[in-house]
Amino acid sequence: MDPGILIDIQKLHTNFYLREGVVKAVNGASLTIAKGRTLGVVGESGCGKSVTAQSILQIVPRPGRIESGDILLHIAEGDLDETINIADLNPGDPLMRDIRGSRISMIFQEPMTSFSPVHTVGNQLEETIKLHQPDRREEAPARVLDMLRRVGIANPERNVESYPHQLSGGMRQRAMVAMALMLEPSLLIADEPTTALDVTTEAQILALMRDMQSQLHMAIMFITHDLGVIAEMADDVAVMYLGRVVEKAPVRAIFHSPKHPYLQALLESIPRIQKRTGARLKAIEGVVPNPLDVPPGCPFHLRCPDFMPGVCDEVVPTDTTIDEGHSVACHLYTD
Amino acid sequence: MDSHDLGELDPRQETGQAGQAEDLLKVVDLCKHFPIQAGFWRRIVGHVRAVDGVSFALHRGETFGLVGESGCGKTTTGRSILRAIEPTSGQILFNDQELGWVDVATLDEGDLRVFRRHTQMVFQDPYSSLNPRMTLLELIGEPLLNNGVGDAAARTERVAELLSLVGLRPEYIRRYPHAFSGGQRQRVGIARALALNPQFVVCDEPVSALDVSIQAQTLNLLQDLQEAFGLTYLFVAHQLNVVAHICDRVGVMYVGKLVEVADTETLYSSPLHPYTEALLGAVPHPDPDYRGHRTLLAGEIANPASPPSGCYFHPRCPYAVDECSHEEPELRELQPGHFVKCHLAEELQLVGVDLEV
Repeated sequence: MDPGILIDIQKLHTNFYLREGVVKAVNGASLTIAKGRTLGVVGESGCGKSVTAQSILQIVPRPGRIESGDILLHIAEGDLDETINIADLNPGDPLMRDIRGSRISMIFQEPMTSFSPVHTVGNQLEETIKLHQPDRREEAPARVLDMLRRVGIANPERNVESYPHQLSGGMRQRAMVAMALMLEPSLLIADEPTTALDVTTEAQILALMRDMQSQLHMAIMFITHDLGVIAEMADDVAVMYLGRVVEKAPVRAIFHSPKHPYLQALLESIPRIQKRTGARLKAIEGVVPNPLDVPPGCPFHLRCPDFMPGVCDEVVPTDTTIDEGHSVACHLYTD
Repeated sequence: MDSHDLGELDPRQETGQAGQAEDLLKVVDLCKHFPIQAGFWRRIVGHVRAVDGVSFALHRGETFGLVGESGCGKTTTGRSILRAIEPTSGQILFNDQELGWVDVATLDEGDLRVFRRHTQMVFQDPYSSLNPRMTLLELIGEPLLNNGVGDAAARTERVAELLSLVGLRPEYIRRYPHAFSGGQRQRVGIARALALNPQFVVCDEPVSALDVSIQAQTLNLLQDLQEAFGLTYLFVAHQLNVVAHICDRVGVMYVGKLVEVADTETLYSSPLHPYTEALLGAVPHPDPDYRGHRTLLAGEIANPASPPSGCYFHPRCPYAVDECSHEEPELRELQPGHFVKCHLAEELQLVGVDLEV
């Protein structure tokens, strides 16, 4: 495996078995996360971006489970150099529990639901050390204070005793970043971490994440539906639609030379603050298909302006390389 | 638009002024204070000043945007104007097509019913704003039924017409909301709002809960309907890019007060209030070449139950001087149509957004 790669996901399938049928939430997605870089994963609701993240941590809620595919985690520390296939591990496996929190941690959209309401912030942060590094538990209070200070929580000596509901939304999100980074993981998964925040608070949290990344040299998998946030944060971008990755590229290529008709349409449909023509927005016609009844062929063909009958509705397109690090899954680009 | 001057104006004499569009709505010194109760006797120990002396006017046929962060009172303002919640004080002067100029804040039951036939609301969450036990026919037909419009057959016909108007197939008329996606449900909400041919619609974050591709469809629909029926919109939102796209004029709110009002181009390209500058600077641009150009505002939004002294924004304002901490600025008209509530507005050189023409 390329030594610069931290996570390599190949043909991941994660299904949800519902009474009404099988929802293929992640349907053959492949992507890589490079060490120390930020991968932005963008897509609309139901595209499988959150389930991909849950699969990496083996926390897919029931009735979902990883059906097939590989999630390779590359660990290189000193003389340790190994590759673990997370997809093969059991969610309750001790190795998996070790990976969660210490090597890969996650922050969520709504900080209130990921903190326990009946324990103080300090207690919950100390717990990560007590669980993962029981021999260093004496250091825990000092390290918690230090981390709270680093994430910019005002008055850490007092706030360490606070309960989550006593903090404001922005402060709570800072506390959650602190909790996720306590053990200095090599990957931080951020699932819409700023969607519930106001723009001025959002700007603060994004700046904090960038700052912590440069201090701790971790990779970030940043999941969002907001292309503005992607442009701000990501080094590389994966665009998802109906469980598949339809385009992967460095961030500049995504915005300056998008290839997939879905991405092109998505970029044209967002109202831009600089443009005020009074003209209508270019909307994508139709709706995302029912995930229980995914159309054959390319998942986007029903809404695609470049639909080619006989091809797009029959064959699932595979990745075509456009440029170094830029690939697209669309029949327009296959020979 | 100083609140005191406006209060003495008779709106009837103001219409038809040279160069000025006809007004549909004038809000004068609107306040909504929610009591904070505590203890066994539910004693009132304080007030949340959700809306605190807001004044603005809406021209007929325009879209006026109210922006601000959570807790700034933009939603409460919208709801107070329709008397969905009772305002604490202030005047809401509305030029009703039947009643003429009325003060909505003091309307009696009967007139309020008439007023509400001409004003409607579109809500943020298309999941919680539609009763899951009612079919589209019942949902969209309910305003018609309640106001005794037509018989059953005429109502069905009107609902089918409204469905095709908002881009839904009339065959769906007997289906329930669960069969529809978020964007389609929002169309149902819009059809319901339009059932009685309103003059004025308050859109409360109508696209915030929708996916990007669906947002564009919904915004286009709102604009088409506005053109077709000459609607006036009060557009409450926090997404500055959406507001830039759809609004003719914009008011910026901070902790219950309007701090700046101007037409959209002026407000975005040359803001006069430091808070407007900070808001514009915080918006993430969908262009990686803009990276790092965002300005960071320190601190957090003031608590509307115990706001700071002087200008509410002064603890976070990078330009604040001594005066700002003890004296509250007035909302002044600095340039024609451009109102700002800041002591330093004349001196500051603030940065807006470069507009592409």
